[in-house]
Amino acid sequence: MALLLIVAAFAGAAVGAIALRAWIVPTIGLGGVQRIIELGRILDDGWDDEHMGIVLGNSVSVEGYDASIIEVAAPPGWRAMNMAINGCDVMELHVLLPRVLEAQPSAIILTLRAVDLGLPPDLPVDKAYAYALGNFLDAHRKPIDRRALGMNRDSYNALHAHHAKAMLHFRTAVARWVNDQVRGWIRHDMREPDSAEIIAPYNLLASIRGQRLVRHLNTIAEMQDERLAAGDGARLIERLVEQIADAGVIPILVAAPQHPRLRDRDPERDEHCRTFLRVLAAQHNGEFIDATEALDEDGFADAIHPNESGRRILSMLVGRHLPPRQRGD
Amino acid sequence: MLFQTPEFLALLVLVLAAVNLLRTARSQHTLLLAASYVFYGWWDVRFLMLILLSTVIDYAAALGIRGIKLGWAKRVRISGLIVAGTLVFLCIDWPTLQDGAFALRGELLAPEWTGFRRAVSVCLGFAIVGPTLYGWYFRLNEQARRRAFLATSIVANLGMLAFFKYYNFFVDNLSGIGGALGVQWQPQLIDVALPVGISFYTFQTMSYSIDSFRGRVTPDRSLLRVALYVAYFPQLVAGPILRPQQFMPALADPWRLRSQNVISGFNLATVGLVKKVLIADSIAPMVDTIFNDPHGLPSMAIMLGAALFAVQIYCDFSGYTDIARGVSRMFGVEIPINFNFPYFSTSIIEFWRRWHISLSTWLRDYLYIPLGGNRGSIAATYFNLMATMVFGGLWHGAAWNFVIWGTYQGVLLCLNRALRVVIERSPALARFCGSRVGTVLRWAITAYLWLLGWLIFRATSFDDVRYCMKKFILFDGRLELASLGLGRGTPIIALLALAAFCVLHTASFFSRRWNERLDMLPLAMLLLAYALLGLLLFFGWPAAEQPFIYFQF
Repeated sequence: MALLLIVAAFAGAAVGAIALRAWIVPTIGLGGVQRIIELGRILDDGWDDEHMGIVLGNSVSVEGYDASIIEVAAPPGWRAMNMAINGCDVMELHVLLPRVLEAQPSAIILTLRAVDLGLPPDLPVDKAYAYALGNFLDAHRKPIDRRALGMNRDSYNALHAHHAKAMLHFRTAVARWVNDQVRGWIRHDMREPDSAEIIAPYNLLASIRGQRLVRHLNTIAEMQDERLAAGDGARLIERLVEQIADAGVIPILVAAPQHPRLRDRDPERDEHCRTFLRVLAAQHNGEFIDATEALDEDGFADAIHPNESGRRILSMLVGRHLPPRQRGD
Repeated sequence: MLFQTPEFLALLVLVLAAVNLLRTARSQHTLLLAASYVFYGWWDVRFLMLILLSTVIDYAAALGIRGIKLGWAKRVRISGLIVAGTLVFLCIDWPTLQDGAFALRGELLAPEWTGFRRAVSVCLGFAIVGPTLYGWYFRLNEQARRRAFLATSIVANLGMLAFFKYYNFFVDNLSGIGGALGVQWQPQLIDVALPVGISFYTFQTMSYSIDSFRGRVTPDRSLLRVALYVAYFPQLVAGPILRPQQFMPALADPWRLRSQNVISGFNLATVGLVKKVLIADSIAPMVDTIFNDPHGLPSMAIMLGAALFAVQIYCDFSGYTDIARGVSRMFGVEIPINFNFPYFSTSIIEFWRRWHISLSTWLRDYLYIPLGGNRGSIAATYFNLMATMVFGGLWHGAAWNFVIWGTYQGVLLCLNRALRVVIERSPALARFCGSRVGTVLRWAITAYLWLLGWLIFRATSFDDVRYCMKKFILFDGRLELASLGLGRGTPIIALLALAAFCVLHTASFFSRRWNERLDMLPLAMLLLAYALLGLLLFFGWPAAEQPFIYFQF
């Protein structure tokens, strides 16, 4: 009898699994990581023979760039797409980059802070499964070196998971969707752009000030110190840029804008970051853009993310630095 | 092995089937003991040695207390068992094997984990010295012998607990005190994992020896039965703490599986699983978000965090107990209830009669009453209450917030006792307290107090305790929703889980428990209910595994 009950429960679960695969995920997506799947589709579709500049990076790039403004500021013939993903730090870029390079962009714009020279945060398991579902590993010519990246085993296994297992991981998609919908009704300071948004995928609609800003500045400063003390991620950035250059793509390295109240905390460290990026760009025939003092307080939504005004300034800055198209391009 | 894993389900089905096929009690007990050791060893095989040692010590102590002298042959066999256990549990490189790392055959027999040599020396030393010491105790007069065996049991069990759980805490604090007094001392801390469930099974084995001493239980001559009492897998790692009188009578005869028990047990276990997976685990991420860094959060967030944690810890722990009781019921063995709607208590005294009943009654019977209970002066009674609750707090973990929590509970119990005396002397007050309004008011005050207690329990540092208490007690007037952290994780799901718990738990309190409702369903409806539960569990089962909170104790 107990076996009958177990069978009944599994039957219910099986119905759920079928519904998840056939209807739920295609309808509501995978929540925050749906963007990874959508970017995969966009990269597969490719683009016409144009000079395409791709913005990659984390939330600083998500908030910091409007591709349409980059195009306006850029020399004629350039197009731009913002494929930044919230939380996409250096380790995740290693997973994402080969697929982007396969689509043959002309330039890749990477925006990096001093903290990125420290130990990168691990790839969340959710995202790893999303990359598995999006077949991102197919673009990797060599197996991912887990130890070199410092990736935890769970994320590594998730990256290599079978589609069925990866889909099963997203069984809480309905709960997350309900959560996101209700949160969207309640909160008015955040925007939920389409997962496939590649022009201006920003989320923040308001800027924080006062005590909330002070708390955020302190949190960012502490996090920065922790990550830099935890390890050295410079080599991982070098490998990223090497891959970009080896694929014949121009690396555009941007030293991320820094909040004025964080600028004097550790000037030596910030200068080290700028020098590192400048030298790296020069070594690979790329461009270096120092945006650390490009924005004042009014250009920031919080301690690190540009707001609408900051986004405009940063996008214009990057657009202007895109190299003119050569004859015959 | 976690309850909510496929491997546990497989183990349970296999054991149920095998118990049903086996006809003798001895064969069933052997199977159940093996299954229990597999269940526990799934985490770390090495810690099975602690369970074996605890079992042997209390088996021998209980017999010795009652004047039953084991012959040399039996003692040597038990020593042989210790040696075999040492070889199997300690001398194989289980950490490497269980980590999934490949190891060559030769390397498997040369473990390199910290403390390996010391552990083997202690176990082998015990195997050699134990039989002699046992025999030497019988040279003492009866009273001295009984006390010697009892002391050995208590010292051995508390010693194990103290070493694995409290050594670093005490040494660290002593070093701090020394430093404050100008004495520089840098003690070496030990690097050893806390064995899962050690707080539970050491208390359980101690109650066996103590009850033998008090004459409340006749010690069993069968080491197998005692070993099963200690390691019985449904309740091994997080209770309920079973008294020998509550379990050992069930071992007298072979177990016969009955369809009604299996279904009812399955229903109870399923309800526990739903509590744990759908409610506790849905709430856990938001609780972590609030309490991992509470500084800067407004009063509303802290209060919400307290409420969420209260539901999380209840559903997590009572869910575990329900699964344990349900699994045991399938075998036809009833484990006593451990939670009896504690959040509907109208006083702190009542709360402690309804929350973690097996621990509170253990503390009452083996600490509070031996200290004198309420038989002495009022001051002595309050002292005994405080000592019991501080110890109870410390039992939960080697950290000052648990000591503070225990102290806080002790103070509340003392105040409650004092207030009762005042109420009893005032008929008007007694009438009011007994009225509907008075009952609701008493419930509300009690709820406020246990919510504040959970804040202290959950906070991870002194600073956090201070900040959270201040924000909980002194409302700061900040009402903006954005400061509740709604931008992070799945807070809406946590709030929905909280709401669902409030509704379902209240319905359960005023009507029937949910497992009893399932028991009453006809077969077709029950199958449909399970299909729906399967669907719900599929969609609600969190992707990240959340261990049971009480495993850390």
